[in-house]
Amino acid sequence: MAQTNLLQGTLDLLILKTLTLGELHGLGIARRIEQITRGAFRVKAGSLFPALHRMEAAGWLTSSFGKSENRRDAKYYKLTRKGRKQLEDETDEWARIAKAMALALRIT
Amino acid sequence: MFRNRRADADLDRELRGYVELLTEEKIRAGMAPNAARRAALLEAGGVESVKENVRDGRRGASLETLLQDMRYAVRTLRNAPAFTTAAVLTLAIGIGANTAIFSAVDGVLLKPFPFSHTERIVTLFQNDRKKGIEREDVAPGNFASWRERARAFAAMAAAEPYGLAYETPEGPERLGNWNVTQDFFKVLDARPVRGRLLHDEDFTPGNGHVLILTYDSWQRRFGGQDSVIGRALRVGSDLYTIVGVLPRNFAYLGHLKRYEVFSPKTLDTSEVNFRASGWYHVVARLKPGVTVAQAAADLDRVADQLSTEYPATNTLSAVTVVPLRDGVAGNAARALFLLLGAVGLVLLIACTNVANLLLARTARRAREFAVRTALGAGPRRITRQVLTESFLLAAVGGLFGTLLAYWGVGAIRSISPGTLPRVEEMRVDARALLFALGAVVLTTFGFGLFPALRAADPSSQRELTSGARAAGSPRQHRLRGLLVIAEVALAIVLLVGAGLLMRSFVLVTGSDRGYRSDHVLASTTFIWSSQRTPSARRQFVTELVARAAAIPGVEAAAVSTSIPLADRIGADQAKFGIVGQAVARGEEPAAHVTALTPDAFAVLRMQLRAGRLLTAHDDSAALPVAVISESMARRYWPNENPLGRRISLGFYAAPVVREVVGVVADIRHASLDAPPEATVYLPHAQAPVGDLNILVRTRDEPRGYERQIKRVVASLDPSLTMAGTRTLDEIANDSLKARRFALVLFGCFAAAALLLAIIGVYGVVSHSTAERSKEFGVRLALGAQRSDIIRMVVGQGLATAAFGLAIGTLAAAGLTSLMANMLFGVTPLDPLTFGGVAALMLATVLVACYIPARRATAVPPVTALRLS
Repeated sequence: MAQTNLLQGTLDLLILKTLTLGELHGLGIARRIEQITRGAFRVKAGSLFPALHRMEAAGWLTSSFGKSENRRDAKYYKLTRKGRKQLEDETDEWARIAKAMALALRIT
Repeated sequence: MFRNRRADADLDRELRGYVELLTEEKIRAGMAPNAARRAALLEAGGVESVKENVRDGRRGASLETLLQDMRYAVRTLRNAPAFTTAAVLTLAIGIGANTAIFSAVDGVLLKPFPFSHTERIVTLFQNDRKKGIEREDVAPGNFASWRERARAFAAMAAAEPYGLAYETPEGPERLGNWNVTQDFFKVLDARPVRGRLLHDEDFTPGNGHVLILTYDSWQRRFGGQDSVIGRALRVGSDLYTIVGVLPRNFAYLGHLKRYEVFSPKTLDTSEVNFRASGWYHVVARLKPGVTVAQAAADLDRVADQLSTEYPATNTLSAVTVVPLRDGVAGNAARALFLLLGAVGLVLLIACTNVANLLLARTARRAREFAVRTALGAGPRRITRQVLTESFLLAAVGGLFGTLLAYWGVGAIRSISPGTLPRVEEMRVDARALLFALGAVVLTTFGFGLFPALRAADPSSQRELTSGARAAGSPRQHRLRGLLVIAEVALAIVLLVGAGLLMRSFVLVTGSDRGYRSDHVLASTTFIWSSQRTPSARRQFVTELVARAAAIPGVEAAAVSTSIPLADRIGADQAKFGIVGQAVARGEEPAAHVTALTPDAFAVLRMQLRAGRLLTAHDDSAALPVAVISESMARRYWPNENPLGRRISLGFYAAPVVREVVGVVADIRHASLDAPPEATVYLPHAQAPVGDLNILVRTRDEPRGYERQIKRVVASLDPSLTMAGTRTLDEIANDSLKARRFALVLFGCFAAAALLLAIIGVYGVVSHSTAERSKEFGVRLALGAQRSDIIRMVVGQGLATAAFGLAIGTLAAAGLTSLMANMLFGVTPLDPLTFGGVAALMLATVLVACYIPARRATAVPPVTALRLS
């Protein structure tokens, strides 16, 4: 259970981060995450879309339908003010956890 | 629903876009369009399952999941018919009984009254500080003075219980009616549904012959027809016109009799000056802004004035002011609330029982929950699922319970005592249904929450799946043991309550009444208007008794002014003086007075204790005499011989000095559970007054003589109407109605509680013995005797029950004082009742443990071992 929560939190954080540069559609977000993590995370639709909808419901994102660069129908997500705040909080939290984990792993 | 569908359409569009973008990406990377699309779909991982994931992630319980949970719940419950039936039945009994009693309490006590500003309506009583009676009916003179002098009221009115007979083609019909004074409907602020209510002109001389019907009598007697307005009824030599109908929910409250019509009443001069005894019911409406306390102070001032002005009657007389709602039911309210408490306990036991069943069931389903958890169901989802099942059980139980309540309310109405007002308001209506719904929701959580939380708790799942077959952990057993203790304790409380009521009932019915009520028919008639002189009445009564006695099958016939245990219409109380003893004016003792013909002693089989009974020689020409009751003799001539003493007594006439010639055993005139009153019996020939009741003792079933008695009366005076004919047994039974009402309901609840508790004990014991069959097998294989194991199981069951017994007994001892005023001849801590209940409980628990223990040990040890 704890493991799932951690992964979920990670995905949320990555989505929030990719959207700081502007609005993106689902595939765009997935590709951007692959890009910035240098391929470490490949996000599948099965986890991406539930996360997006959940985050939208939480008020971190807003969405609207638009046309993609090659005139395809796509839903674009944008960070809200609340989402930005959430990103800051989670970044701090993540840094704290990462530091603690690194410390713990180095000792044992 | 609509929003959901749109969200689904949006999701569909989004995912389609996603797949297209992905396909395009792959085409750009050099794949063929068809291959690219296939790869894209593959990578997306099944569009439907993605959608499902998104939907699951949506916040809140969507209708869809709820329906899904429901469907699943229906399926699981259908697969466990025994469990489902047991749970639904238990809940139906619990919820049904509660809804029925709630309907009764709601109808009588809680429902708003159909009057505006009900809080301003009060009922007024005389407070007789001398006799210690706080709520006495009001003398007309006192009412007139209150109305004239009190300043706190916008209006005050009095109502006199009365009866009238109107002619119909089938013979005279009697109606109970209230004669009401001018502002009566102003105080109660009623609006008619047909016609009009009373005008001021109705109270002017010669205009008073109008009637207002209650809704009920309009429907029942006059078929609910509009044409009833303006219809004239012949009452004796007068014509009364029906001018209006009251609304359905109009209930004239605070008063015991459910009368059918209202007619105007103006106090005449003799009444305005009459203060000696009261029979009026007084209601009043406070002026806006005046509190009940201020009104009481105002009336105290008036009462003080009256006691100086009329020392003979009004010394130590005050006024009791009771807000309408409080005045409604008094003791009846107490009994109803007690019943509500009792039935609440039944529901608690029902919940405990179902919780117990559910715990056993969740234990058996531990694997299912573990699998669902492994498949990704979160604890909240599982809790919700189990709660949905519980809700379904409660809802179906509630549905059956409501049906049960419909039937139950009918039963409650039919056995409700005449002292319970607003019985017509008792019904399973929207309020009761709302109550039932509330009970369903409450019980869902009451019995379902704990098992649901345990089902979802991963640690308990692990704990439960670890054993190969055993479904119970020590923790689980402890828990179920606690539930059994609670059930037994609750059942004990109810059983003790019912036991005390039962003992009281037996003692009341078995108490010496001083007369025999079997084979006696009593018919009431009024001869005042047609036989106007004492000699005419005397002659009429002599002839009547002779003709009634001549009816074949009649052993003895007599006339009496009162019937034991019947509602008294007139006030047959009179003050008396003992010749030779000086008493201050206004301080004279009072006695119940009955004038009767000599054979009445034989008809009632009354027992002579000293002296002689009255005879035919005690006529108007002879010396005035009286026979007194034992308790009167004891009270006024303690350690003396009352025979030959003389008392001065006026019975509807000036006082006459009479010699006491005999003492008879006490008869309980007012009620079987009140101490006997001092009673004086006068020869009717020497006091030909009062109501006229014809009493006949018959050789066989007395009901059969009703028509012959009527014929005898008609042969003497065809204008006389019979006010009613009942056997003395019926009258005595009716007087016990309130007691029987409480006993029957309480008894039912106690029986239900015992049954449920026993089912609970049986369930737990048989469950645990089934789990321990392996252990028993080992024990038997190692040489234990079957009887040892049975003794062990029964012993453990009894030990658990004994805990419940102890707690229940303590709780009962603390609670029974609440019902002290409903008891007779037993104390609230009656050791016989407590002991009997404890023995009953232990005996039933013994049986409930013995049966499963026997069954578990009947399995050969080898089979038991192999089974695991």
